[in-house]
Amino acid sequence: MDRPTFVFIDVQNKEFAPIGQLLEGRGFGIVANGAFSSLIPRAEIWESFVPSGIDKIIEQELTTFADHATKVIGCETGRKAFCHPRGSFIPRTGTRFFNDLLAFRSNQIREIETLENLSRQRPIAGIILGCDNSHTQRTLVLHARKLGIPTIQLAHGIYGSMKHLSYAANMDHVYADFAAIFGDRAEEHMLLLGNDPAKIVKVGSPTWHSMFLNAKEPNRAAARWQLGLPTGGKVVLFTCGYSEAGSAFFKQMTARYVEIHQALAKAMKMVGENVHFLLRPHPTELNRRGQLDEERNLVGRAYLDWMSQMAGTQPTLSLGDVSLAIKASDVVVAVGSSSVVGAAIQLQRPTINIPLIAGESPTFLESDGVVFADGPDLGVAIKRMLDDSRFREQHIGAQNDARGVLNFGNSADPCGPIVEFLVEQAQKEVGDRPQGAEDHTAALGAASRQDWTTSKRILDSLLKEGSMGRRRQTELLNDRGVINHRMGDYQAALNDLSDALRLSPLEPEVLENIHCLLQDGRAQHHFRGLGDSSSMVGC
Amino acid sequence: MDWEEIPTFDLERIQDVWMHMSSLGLVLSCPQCGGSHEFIQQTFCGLAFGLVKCPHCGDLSKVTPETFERILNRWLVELDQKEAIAVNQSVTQVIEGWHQDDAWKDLLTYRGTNLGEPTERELACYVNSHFCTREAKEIRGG
Repeated sequence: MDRPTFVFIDVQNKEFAPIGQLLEGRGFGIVANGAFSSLIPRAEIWESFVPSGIDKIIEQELTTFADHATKVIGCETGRKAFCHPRGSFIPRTGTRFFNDLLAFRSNQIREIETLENLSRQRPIAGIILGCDNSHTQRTLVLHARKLGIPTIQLAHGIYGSMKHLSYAANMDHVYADFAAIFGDRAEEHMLLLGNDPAKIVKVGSPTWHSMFLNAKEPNRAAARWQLGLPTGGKVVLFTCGYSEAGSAFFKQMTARYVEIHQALAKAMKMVGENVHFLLRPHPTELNRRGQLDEERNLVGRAYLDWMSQMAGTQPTLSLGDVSLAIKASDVVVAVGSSSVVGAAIQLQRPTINIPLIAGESPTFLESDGVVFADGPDLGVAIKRMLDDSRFREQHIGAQNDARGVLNFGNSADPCGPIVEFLVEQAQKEVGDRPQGAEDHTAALGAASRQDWTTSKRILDSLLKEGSMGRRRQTELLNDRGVINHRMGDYQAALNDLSDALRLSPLEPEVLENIHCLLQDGRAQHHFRGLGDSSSMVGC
Repeated sequence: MDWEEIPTFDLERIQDVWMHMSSLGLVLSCPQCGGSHEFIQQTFCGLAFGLVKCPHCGDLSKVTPETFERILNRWLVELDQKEAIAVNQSVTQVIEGWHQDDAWKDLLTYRGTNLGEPTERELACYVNSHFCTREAKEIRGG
């Protein structure tokens, strides 16, 4: 057997490279996929452990799977799994769903076989992931758990508590055994979103730490020169995200991004010609286009022309290093919970945040020194930030005060503590690691099979654990309330839903379930001691 | 290639739509060769800018945010905030539940790991499609 090895999967940020280098210095082997492997001197490449004959294995597995899946979907019990009171999606998009499922399965088998092959050759001390919610990443997390290998996700931002926008397996849920997160604010959001506190490891951001250390080099003028921007006048950097079609908010969000650009165009007009705007798309938008460079450039130019027509001034695109763009600017304007806000705070630039959706808890707060502006107020806020030096300094000062909360202490390199944590976990027994989130999924799975007893048993045990975030507790109580209702224990259902309501007074699902419970004739009979009346209302 | 010279995309070419993970997918017929092809609209700074290129004859047309707004208004159902939250919850319920169903669980399992569960994020869009898009017959009828 070879030396214990840590595996890096889909880690993109070069600032995480010292983790691999430090682990290597401690005597561990390193295996990494993608470009990250080139940042660690003796790292081996993950893909080199793909077993020979994998294509044959995959072909056989997929053929068998497709045969059986066709039979299962052809019978009523198979189709029932997709049933919902709003109807089944299978007739409309079932073919696309199963085609993707097959393609994903091929990738998943490849990852599992590679992991198994590697684990036969040397002990795996842990898997470190850049993200943990894609089909391959989650497969590795689940399979590693079966093999007794700990997994940790390296957070690359403070995930916003975008509860309304959330759908299945969004960024806000930690699937790995642990998540190395930035600080108190990130922890607060993760707990609010129902993540298990035992999974959270507060260490700070290597990216932000590196930015803070290098905040002054290159200086503003040099950064502008490197980007080909005018060295005189003022520069405003605008960064923007995009909407995802997995969410029912896709249409609303698409319209919202247009509205934000209209507000930005008005702001550009208001601040005048001596202010130059640098507009930056989200890197994911550029990476996934699958277009030729010529087409990509054409679309970028079309976007700039569209903006310049609305604003009456010609902006520039920012496509390279984000920190250089921030350094070149006087003010940074970002939308929603963009991690660019945190980066701008590290680089001593005042930030203006445009809220993405009403009713969400913002990632950054006014008390962090961040100015919130929207619509006609946006231009006023940008202009004041550019013209009023006292106002600007006051906000940068408040941003500096917030650095400790946003970026755990902000005083030391976070890679060292991550390494210590990884080494410690590698030496622990498997049973010491948190499993709660998966058990909740099992409870929901049992409920979907109408196995109320199993579902309730799991929920009872999870709720007994005690230490958990408010959202998770609300979800568990809400789910147990529904299960109790289904089991005919109306008093227990009411108790659970009342407790959930106390925790989260405006949670729509809880309110809806209480409404259903109160409409249920049999529940009324129980509560009021009245005769049995109407039938159960489907909740 | 000059953006201004490229003709604007004609909405009547759309045969059907579906929600792809990154954006809206369109099933299209080509105005030049009549061939059928698919296109996934993408974004630049969150705005829908795109070039639709027929893979059969190379015919080009452009999508702008204004065109895309008209596509969404025609093909997507109108949901207020409360309804959209309820739809997201329904999508989650379906996508997190089906792979735990007895009919599928064993079939999906490979070397002891259920491979349906890790696909939730990327397959949620197809369930969302059912809840959020109008059917072609509804559009043609209306």
